Amino acid sequence: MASKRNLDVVSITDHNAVQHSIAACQLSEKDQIAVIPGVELTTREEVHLLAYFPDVESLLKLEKKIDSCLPKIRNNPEIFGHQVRYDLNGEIVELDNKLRQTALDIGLDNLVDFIHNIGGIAVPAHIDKDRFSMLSQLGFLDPEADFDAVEISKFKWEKESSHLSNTWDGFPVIAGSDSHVIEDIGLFFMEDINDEIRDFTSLKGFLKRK
Amino acid sequence: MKLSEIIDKCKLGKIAICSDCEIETGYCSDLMSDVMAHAAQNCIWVTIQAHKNSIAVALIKDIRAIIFTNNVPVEPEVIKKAKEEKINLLRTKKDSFTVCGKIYGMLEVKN
Repeated sequence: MASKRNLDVVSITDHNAVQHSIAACQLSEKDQIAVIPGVELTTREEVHLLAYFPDVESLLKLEKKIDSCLPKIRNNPEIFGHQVRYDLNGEIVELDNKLRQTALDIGLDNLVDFIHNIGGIAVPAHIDKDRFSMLSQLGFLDPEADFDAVEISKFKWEKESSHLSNTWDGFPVIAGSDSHVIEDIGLFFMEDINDEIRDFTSLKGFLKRK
Repeated sequence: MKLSEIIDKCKLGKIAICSDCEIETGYCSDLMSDVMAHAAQNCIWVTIQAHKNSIAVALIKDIRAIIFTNNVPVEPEVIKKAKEEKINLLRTKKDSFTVCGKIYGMLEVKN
């Protein structure tokens, strides 16, 4: 779908789960699209935090951290649906019974440090939303905080005035499509007018300069 | 009611004590936006949200003391900021419901 919609760089960020992001990275090897390994985490404060990494190995290190911080609660499919894992051919290979739709037992600032230590970048998700965001949970953005960027929801991103060099309280702003179903992929995207961002390293470099 | 009386009767652990201030009322919430909208000044705030921003919210709202419940971990940076800003920090193993019930009863009797 990403290639059909002419996207150049994408990242798959499941909630507290990395395996599909890894699968997307493996698929990208056959394709023209760059896929950045990523994940969306829920911190102890119930702040959603996006993390992006240079390689699958770093994402696997984070998976270990997720597993150690995830409370031992069984998923109830009647409430949260089945957590199904697919392989590269679209076949179901696993039913994940650990509830992922919950908060990790680790504080936001500690988790940001951990992400940086294993080479990733940390971005509070949809900060303009009134649920599970930095602003709803923790009130405001500390200008001293160690975030590499902040993400706003696609509804806040305006086609005319929003672009990749905007900032919010001094942090570079990015936006994602927040696609939860395959058809949504590519309906929203950010345009990189200077064609600078090709992969994780150029993304990190771009954000650092802002 | 004096903060020291609440600390004694609720058997709270002391993380940072800056003053034995007068507590007039309380508030219980884990969402900062809600605390900023609804907490009264000179209150004691009961929460599991032990983040640095909690101290800033307490400062904005003239909240004199925070009780962290459920034995939630409190990072040294949070304690340092509370001491700088003269906000009293307490902790307990009990949950917010239990602590609020106890303090509510004490303040009701007093009034």
